[in-house]
Amino acid sequence: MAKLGVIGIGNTLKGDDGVGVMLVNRLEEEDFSDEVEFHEVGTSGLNIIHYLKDLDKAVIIDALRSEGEPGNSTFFRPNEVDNSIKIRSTHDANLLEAIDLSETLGERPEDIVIMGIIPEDISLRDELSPLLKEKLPELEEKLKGKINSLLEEEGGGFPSS
Amino acid sequence: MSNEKIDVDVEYLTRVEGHGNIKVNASDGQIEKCEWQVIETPRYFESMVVDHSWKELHHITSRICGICSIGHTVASLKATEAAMGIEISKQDELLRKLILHAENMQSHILHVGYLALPDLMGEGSVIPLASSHPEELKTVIRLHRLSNEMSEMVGGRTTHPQRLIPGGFSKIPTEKELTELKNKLRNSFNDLMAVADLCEAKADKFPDFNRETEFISLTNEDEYAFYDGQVRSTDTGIQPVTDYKDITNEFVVNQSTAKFARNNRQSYMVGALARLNNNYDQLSPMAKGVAERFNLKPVNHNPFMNNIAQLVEVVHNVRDSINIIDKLLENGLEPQEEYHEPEIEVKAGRGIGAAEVPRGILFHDYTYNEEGICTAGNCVIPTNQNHANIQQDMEELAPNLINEGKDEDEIELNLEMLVRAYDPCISCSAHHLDVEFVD
Repeated sequence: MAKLGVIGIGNTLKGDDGVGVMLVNRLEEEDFSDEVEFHEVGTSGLNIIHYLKDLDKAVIIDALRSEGEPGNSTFFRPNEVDNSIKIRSTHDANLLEAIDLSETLGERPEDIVIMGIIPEDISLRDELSPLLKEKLPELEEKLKGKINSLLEEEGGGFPSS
Repeated sequence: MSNEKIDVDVEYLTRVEGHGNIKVNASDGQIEKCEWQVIETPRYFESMVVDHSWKELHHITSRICGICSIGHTVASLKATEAAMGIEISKQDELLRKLILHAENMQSHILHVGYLALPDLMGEGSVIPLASSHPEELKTVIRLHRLSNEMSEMVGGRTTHPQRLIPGGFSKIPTEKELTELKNKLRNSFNDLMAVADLCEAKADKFPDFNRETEFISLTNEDEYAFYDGQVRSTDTGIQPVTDYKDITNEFVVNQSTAKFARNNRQSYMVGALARLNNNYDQLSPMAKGVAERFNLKPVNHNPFMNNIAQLVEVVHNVRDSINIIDKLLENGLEPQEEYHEPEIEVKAGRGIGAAEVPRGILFHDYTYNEEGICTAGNCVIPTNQNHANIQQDMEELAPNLINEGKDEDEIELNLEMLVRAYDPCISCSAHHLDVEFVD
């Protein structure tokens, strides 16, 4: 059985920085097939390679430092990132470097999709900003849609990213 | 002596957790500016814990840091337990010691293997090591996975442990799981020695820089202290943990949003090297054997040797974890129900908890009212205690490097390596400063 991992990165004590973790916690409560597993990685950087190891596909959700409206989200694959543009998650543990390492070790899931969400407020607070709170159901629906579309793709035959 | 202008300006130093800058300007061999700057969103730790229940604090504080979440949990539980006079069983104490070993291994292996080795190998990051030294890197990764597995087995997760609660554990591992873990730990010695061999082969890459300073850590007459003990300084001797404010003396500097600390001198150092300097005799023989290979003996004043002290500690962590599991199995695990909730008599009081976490001694201090709601909280983290020492080291190392005729790139690399040797976790070091900065 192919395994799809949904991995939330972030610090829930830093407001919207924890949005990835919060989304994973919400979805964890729902009824997904056994193919889907949820992980909360927090901010422990390179640690993500250990979660990627046994997966066939992964969706990684993180706050994203990027141009755009707070609350907006985007799905992209690691190879779509132009390093010169410096799209970067708010964690300097370097998600893309960790993915590279996973690949070099021959452990990288066949397909990785990153869901980047632009935060409004990453100051110290143990809840999301009002804007992100309002957007959370919409973000959750988008994420669910992505999980389902990845599950529907037959035999894990994704274009290698 | 160089008569050039030197301008080292490292914005956002890589391979450390968080955001720190190195600024050095010199002209005609004279230092004009030399600063270790910590620029990170201040963290309002105190305000995070106040008004929260004793049942929540260890979960909240575990989120302060993704690397030291177990250490924060343990220090937090100890503070709560001290405030309410809660005692834990010998079995729970052994399990807590086991999970602290796991976190120390996790963090040190990550630091030595992924963050420091690239410097020794002359690589910019861990990625090229995967091609140039694949077997060595796989060894590091195996050890890292073992420590993660250990954290998960005892705490329920690799980070942000769920099973540690005031008064004990909500769930404990089985004897079968402990036996399996013990076998894996035993089998890891070859990997540990392979990493030691690799570091030894590159030992000449560690700069020979010594600056006398003060070292502070926990100490315990029964063992190499991680979980419990009194505070020991190489300068001022032993004091109770309750004196922590008189020892840490946190203060504010213009160049940093994080607090600095000092005790008997302008600065002191905490972490693996401080622990090793204070408690060397209690290391396991195998760990001492590794220390001897690097001529690492107390009191060592070379901050770069903190990397080696970390390696030595990992060997000790593995060895002592096996001893702990042996003790647990020998005694037979006291069974407890699946979702155990120890009976706690909630009362008002103040409690201070200290633990040795990967980067050094950590203090949590809480005051509770009769309902068990936190009314005041303080936390002194290891990285803040090291900032002043990093600054002092830099002030001595930078002119040395200039006088040796090193060029800007070499100076920059050496200063970066210095900061990385402390393994600073800046993202949790910059917590609330309720003061006005003086211009």
